[in-house]
Amino acid sequence: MLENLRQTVISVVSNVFETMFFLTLELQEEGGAEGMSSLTSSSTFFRGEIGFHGRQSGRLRLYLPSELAKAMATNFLGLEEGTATESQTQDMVSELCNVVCGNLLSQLDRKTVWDLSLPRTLPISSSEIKKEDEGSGIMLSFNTEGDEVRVNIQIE
Amino acid sequence: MACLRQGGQGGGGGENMPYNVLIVDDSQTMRKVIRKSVTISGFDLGDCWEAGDGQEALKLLSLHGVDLILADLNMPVMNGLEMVRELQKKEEYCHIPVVLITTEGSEKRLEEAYAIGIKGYIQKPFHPETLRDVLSRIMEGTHA
Repeated sequence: MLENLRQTVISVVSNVFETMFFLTLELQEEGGAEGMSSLTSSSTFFRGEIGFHGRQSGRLRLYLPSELAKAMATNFLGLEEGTATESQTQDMVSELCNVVCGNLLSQLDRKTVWDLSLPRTLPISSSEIKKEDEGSGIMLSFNTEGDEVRVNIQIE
Repeated sequence: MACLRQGGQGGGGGENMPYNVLIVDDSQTMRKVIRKSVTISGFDLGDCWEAGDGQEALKLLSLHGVDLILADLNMPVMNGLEMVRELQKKEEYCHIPVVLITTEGSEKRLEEAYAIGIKGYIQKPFHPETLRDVLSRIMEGTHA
């Protein structure tokens, strides 16, 4: 069950990043308590979160370094380099959570009606991520263009 | 109540008139991306309005002639399905084609959406060509 979920997450996240942002993701070894400092020099991040409820309940979180998230929002919206605002960046991360979670659930089980919560995104520091790392669930870490993107799924 | 009219209320599509489109999504980012995708897809876009939820969309419909609605499903205040149900109750709006652009992929929910009157469905993320193909098929159908 968990291995199937893990493989589906890898496939969905990679496909969504490729389609929405033309970014290729490379899977890193599973995230651990050392936090998000191995691949990125960024000290601030955005954490997007969305809850789901259906045959099972849980939540999905995405962690993106601030600069990467801003560059992705700039690219997604077709703006001049570096001009995406914090609000636009947070909105993009929330939408990304929505797209990843919706696609993940429909790939895992199209027969179930899944209800998604409204996604929300907050700035977060690397030390706060370290604390959150201590929770259970699946944590996957991807490398893209020298930055690290993390996906965490908790199932109740 | 069965909707007996066909086509939108903006008059688009006839005699080379572009289609007026209403985009309904709670994400401002997604509204902008959908608008951009419709433009670059080659679809004949006229005026384009944006609403953050179903209720806002209903207000805009009372002000503008709209030929096509592109709507998300998961929105605050009034979600996409609730909006379609409201549209179907009103003779002046029930004929406007609604296409869902959503992450939703549940078979039951899509069956429900088609049953209450949506004309098409596009799953996010999407390519502009997919958008053009679906919109062209639906809008050709409204003038058949």
